[in-house]
Amino acid sequence: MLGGHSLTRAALAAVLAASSFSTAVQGLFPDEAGRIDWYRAQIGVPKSIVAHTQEDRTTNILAITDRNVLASLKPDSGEIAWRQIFDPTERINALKVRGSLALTHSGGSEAHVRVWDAQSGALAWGFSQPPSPSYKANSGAAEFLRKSQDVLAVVGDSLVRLSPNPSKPVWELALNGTASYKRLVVQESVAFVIGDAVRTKRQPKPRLHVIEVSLKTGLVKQQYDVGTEQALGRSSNVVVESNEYGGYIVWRDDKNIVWNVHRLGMQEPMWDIYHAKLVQSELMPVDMLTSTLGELDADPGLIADKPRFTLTYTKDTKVKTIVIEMTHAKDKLELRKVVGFRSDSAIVAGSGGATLPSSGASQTERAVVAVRTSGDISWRTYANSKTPTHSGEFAYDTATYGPVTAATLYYAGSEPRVLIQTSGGLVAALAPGSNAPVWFRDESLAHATDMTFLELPAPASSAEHAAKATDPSILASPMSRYVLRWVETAKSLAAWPASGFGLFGGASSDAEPGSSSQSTLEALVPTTPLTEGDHFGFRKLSIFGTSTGVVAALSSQSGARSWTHYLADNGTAVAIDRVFISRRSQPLANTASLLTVVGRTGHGNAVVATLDALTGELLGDIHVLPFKKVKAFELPTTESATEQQLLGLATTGSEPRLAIWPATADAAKAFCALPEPVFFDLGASSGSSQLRGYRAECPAEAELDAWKESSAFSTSRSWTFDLPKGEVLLAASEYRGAQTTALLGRVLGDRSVLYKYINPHLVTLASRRDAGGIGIYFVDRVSGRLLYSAVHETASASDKQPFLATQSENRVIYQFWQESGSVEGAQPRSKGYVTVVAEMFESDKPDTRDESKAFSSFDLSLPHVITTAFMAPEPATALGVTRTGSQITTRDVLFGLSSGKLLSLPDQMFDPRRPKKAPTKDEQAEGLMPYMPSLPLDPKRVLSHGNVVFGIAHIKSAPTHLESTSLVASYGLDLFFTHTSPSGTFDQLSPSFSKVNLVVTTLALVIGCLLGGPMVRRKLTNQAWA
Amino acid sequence: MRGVRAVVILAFLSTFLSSIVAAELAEQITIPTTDTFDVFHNLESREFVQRGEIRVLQNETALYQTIAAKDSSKLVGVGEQALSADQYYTVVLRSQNSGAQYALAARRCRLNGEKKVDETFVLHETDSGVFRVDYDAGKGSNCLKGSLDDVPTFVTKALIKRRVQGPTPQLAVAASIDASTGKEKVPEPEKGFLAKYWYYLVPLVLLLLLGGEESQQEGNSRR
Repeated sequence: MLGGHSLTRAALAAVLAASSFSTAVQGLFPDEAGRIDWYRAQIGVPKSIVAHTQEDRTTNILAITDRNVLASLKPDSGEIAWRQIFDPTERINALKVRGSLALTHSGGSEAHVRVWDAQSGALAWGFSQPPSPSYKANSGAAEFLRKSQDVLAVVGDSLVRLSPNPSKPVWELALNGTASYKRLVVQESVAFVIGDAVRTKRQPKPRLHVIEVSLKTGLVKQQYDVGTEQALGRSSNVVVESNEYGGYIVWRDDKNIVWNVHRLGMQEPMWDIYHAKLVQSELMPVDMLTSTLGELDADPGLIADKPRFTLTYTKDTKVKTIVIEMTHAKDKLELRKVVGFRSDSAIVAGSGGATLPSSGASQTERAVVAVRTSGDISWRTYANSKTPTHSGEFAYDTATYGPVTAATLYYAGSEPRVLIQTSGGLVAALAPGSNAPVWFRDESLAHATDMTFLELPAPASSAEHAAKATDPSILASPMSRYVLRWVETAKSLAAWPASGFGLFGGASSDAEPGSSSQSTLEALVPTTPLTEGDHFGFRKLSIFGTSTGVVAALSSQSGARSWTHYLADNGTAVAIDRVFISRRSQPLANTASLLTVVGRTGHGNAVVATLDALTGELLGDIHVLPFKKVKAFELPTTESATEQQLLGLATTGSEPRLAIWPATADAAKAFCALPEPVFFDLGASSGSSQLRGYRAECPAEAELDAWKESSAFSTSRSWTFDLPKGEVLLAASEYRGAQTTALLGRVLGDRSVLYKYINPHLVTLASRRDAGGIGIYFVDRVSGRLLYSAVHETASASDKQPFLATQSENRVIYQFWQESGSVEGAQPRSKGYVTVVAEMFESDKPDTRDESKAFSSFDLSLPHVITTAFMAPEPATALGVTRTGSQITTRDVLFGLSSGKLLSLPDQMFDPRRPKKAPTKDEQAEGLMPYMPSLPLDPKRVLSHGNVVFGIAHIKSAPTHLESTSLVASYGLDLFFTHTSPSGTFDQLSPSFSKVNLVVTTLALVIGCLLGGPMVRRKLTNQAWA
Repeated sequence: MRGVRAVVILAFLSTFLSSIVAAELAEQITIPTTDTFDVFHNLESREFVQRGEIRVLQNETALYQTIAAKDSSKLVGVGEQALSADQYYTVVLRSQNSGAQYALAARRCRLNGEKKVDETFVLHETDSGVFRVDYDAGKGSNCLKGSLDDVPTFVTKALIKRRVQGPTPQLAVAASIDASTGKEKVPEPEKGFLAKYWYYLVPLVLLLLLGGEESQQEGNSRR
């Protein structure tokens, strides 16, 4: 009978164990492309948006952005219809739209003019002008000709007329470096090229230079200067134009209250305009002297009739903006006020040249939109009177994406839409009467500068939640928590039959908010922040800092936004450089996770802010520190009172100092209590020729007691590393985050061990040599010692072909462009992208290691460096390696490729000991792969599979609770998150594993035991009596 | 007798070995030098006295030679930084070719409690000469001992680390290695027709030889 009891207990335990697996293996299958990853295509913060309604009443929203993207957005959903990503070195200067064509001007001295099909994004034709020695900085403009598909453009130092598919220009006019030409006004038979005239000894003052050119012949009709003390882009002048009225320059001389109006091409007459006439009220001289002008329409060339512009002035401390329209009354020019607004906190924009849907294709809407930027957003459109034609309002918190900075009016069908842009990077379309955006795009993340993962607390059971609410002391005991867990398991077991034994709906949906990639379906402000993780550590918060001032937290599992916070100082966005998790919440404790953000104000002062990492709530104020150009890094100690990890903020300059955060007496004392002094390096910026090492010095106790925000430790220089003559620094790389090492050495085929040289203070420097090539230096940042140096004589690096490097454990991997050539005493170089691996060992002899028990940078121990090189399959834009919890799993090397792929290659491939000849028995026993000179672009190893992830600038990885699996995040322009298992999913159940079969088999065994038990006992009893 | 024989053998061996060392040294001395560095030690406060010189040889080795106190020169005009660090023991190297000075420091406590201290100079050089010198003296464990009372005797070692040519992909090697086996590929001799297609031909022949008879027999038996 005892046997029967134990069998029953075993059966119950088996069933319970089986049931405990019922929710544990969701979403872990290795082939779940598109389910375990997420992707977001972005365009960046627009710097110019042109919304153009064509005669067939379809609207194109075209934008050029700060991330050098030309994109077309769908007017109904805001989704990207198409986008063209320009080379980072080829800045897009201008965008013009006519009919179904879009025109871009990009580049500088080497300029490019391209015409695109606005519907498909296909390149219709293009023209490139080679660099010109007499090119003036910022020169460049392009315009369509009227009633023609020809284009007029300022390229380099020339004005060219281009026809479709140009092998060469129709005509070319040399501008002879007379000005920096930025504006073109095209009329029927002539065009005006306007620029900032070059200052000479005879004419040292700034002024505008105008050239009138015949469109037919390209000959100069006349050229002259106008507008003394004026430069294009200043708020004291504006260039306005229309098809019917021609072009005008309106400006106000310095310290003058009169506005001058000059019609292009006419020396005389020049009109004077007085404020009183325009604003219809008397102004004080001081108010008139501070008035400014602004352009109203994004693409003035679209305007058919009367030119318009805005005038902003202050009266009785109230800022007002009026829209002014030019009219001709016989031969006399008149300026008329159309509408005026209080503009203390509002922006005004024109409609471009939208066709008025209600009145047919022959007329154009002359609407103006005014958007209030403070508090909730409200907007109104005006036609030709003071009565608003449309209006709308919606609740908006500027703490999420900052204030509205630009607006555009467009039409979707017959309905007007207002496209707003905020300083944080939000683009949203508003419709009349709607209290929420029709669609929005969060483009702040296209400007991400840093990212960190925050581990979320594992989900607590409902029993734990209940205990926490009633008596939290129960949770202090591990035994009581264990009992609670069993209670929870028993409850879920009871509910299991009701769920159809897990057979139906087993794949529980991710209940996170807004998991859809459709921006139209997301809520602008996430209602439920993500505060709980999962059992396996896949769901973390990925927290981004951006240069637009937005800090954003997204679910690493689905990409759903958890919270966003906009940081600004005096109305200007804080450019965020680094984000740190400065405190992690303890399980079941009431301490919040803290996020410390380090950035810069518009003046360059360091800014530090602390946020609740789970909710995004700003804790305290934004602190502007009296230090500029700081280098932020984590310190190995915490402030005792808040348990917040200390950050070091090293100031650059001739006498660097080290500030700390939190800037409290407790923190300063914790810093000085460190057993070893803190060393840091400065000067690792591009163009530098020297790297300097410093150590912080602790002051007297009294000074620590009086520690405040402006306090900083003095430093003493401990070493200087000068690059060889004729070399300047190109790039520097260091370890990011804590490094974990499972194996201290490499076990060779003969069972001997080659010990790894692991130096956490290693800095990799790459230098550009005047004589050509790249120098590589491994430097210890504590002692300043040079550990290894190499030269790649035919290598080169530029913005187009950047030098990239990443470090992990004892390995440095770097990539560069190499020209073909021969090198004395070395192998000939082949042309292409080359990936080099340098692996460091304590000695070249196996079983030999450093005598000292602990690593010290002050002990001279030079690593034995083994290197090898491979041809890279494609140019990379970022490098990274995978990370797992204990690093027992091998590391995959990650490449962000310029073709938009995220490639993952196995660690073994980068072993510099791969045999180049027939492998020996020991090498075969060690499992070394034979050397192959090129890295494969294996489609099976492309983590991003079908997604085109453009502009990958950073790759980060974080461990999960499963040793086999690490999270991988890539960001830059687009975002792509996934997880990968470099050594296979050895600690997970396979996708084909059947839980039902397991339960059925277990039950069958139990039943078999129950039935067979008595029979066996009976047989034994019979045998005993026999 | 045995003792005398052993002494003679030892004397012979020592003479032989010393002659080899002398020959080696003589050979090294004849190797042209690329540069010579004067080594100045900070024996007294704010005073650097030359105690040796390092000769950098063309064969990428270096020789250190001690200079007697009476022949030594003193160094003035060393930067304030080299002198002000109380916590560091500072040594200055001066190139005889270019006059460039390298102020090198080791933590002073690493010399504590030692009468003989190992010191190492690592000279990093490129084609155009030495561009950096690293220095190490003493042991980190000495920092737990008492203070440095007197300047110890140094046992000096000088190493040359030459900047290496970075690796490049070995495209030529690739073709000769079989990725699947890892063995060098040997061009296979062209096979004959039978050698190439025997596995098609053999079953066909067998089928013709064996298959036809069976069916005939079957047919006969039916009849």
